[in-house]
Amino acid sequence: MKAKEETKEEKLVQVPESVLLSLVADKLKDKVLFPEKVKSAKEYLKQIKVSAL
Amino acid sequence: MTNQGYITSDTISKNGTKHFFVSEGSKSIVKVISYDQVGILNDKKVFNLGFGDYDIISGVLDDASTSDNGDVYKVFNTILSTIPKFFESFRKDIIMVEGSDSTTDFTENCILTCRKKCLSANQCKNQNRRINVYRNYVNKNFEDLKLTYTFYGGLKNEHTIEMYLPGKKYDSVFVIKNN
Repeated sequence: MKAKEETKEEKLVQVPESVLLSLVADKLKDKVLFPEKVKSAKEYLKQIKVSAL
Repeated sequence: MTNQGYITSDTISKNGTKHFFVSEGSKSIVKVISYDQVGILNDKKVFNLGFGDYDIISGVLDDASTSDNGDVYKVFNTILSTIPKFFESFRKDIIMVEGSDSTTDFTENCILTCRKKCLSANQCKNQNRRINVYRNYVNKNFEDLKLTYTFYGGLKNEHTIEMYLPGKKYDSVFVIKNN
């Protein structure tokens, strides 16, 4: 007898946009999101001579 | 600065602010704007404006891609709308704007895959496109904007910042809120 093949379906859950953004915000809140950009900006700032500010 | 953008979800910490929204075009894309402290100039904290797409499945943030989602102006207006919000929390500090395509790394990587026939990394046609979008906005609206903000232009090769001159090419733009 042939065993019945199990089919796995991905269950998609719909959440309101505000909830999605809150979840993303919570997940990313204490992280540096663009570390390379921050690194390059820090290096750039170190070299700057300020006379105008 | 403008109010024709998406509604953002905002978080504030002592290290800066983050703003999230969903770009609704041909796709739905979560976008992130992040102001991160990168240094101090004349006793003022400097926060870099970072912007990119967030892939909710992989958790990867990408500040280099162009999503072509058909809502470029709305997205740009949304970025601009976070500037007054940032200054609500960091009244006396500085925003620094530098495009992700303004770095030397960008041109070195771009030339490897680009279809445009630039002769060398020094002549990259894609370089500085993002900062030019910000510069063009400031140039176009300078008279109105200067009532609320003071702008400075950064020149990378000369390692200096100067008072912003509309029309002049800068590698970065610095913004301070007027008192």
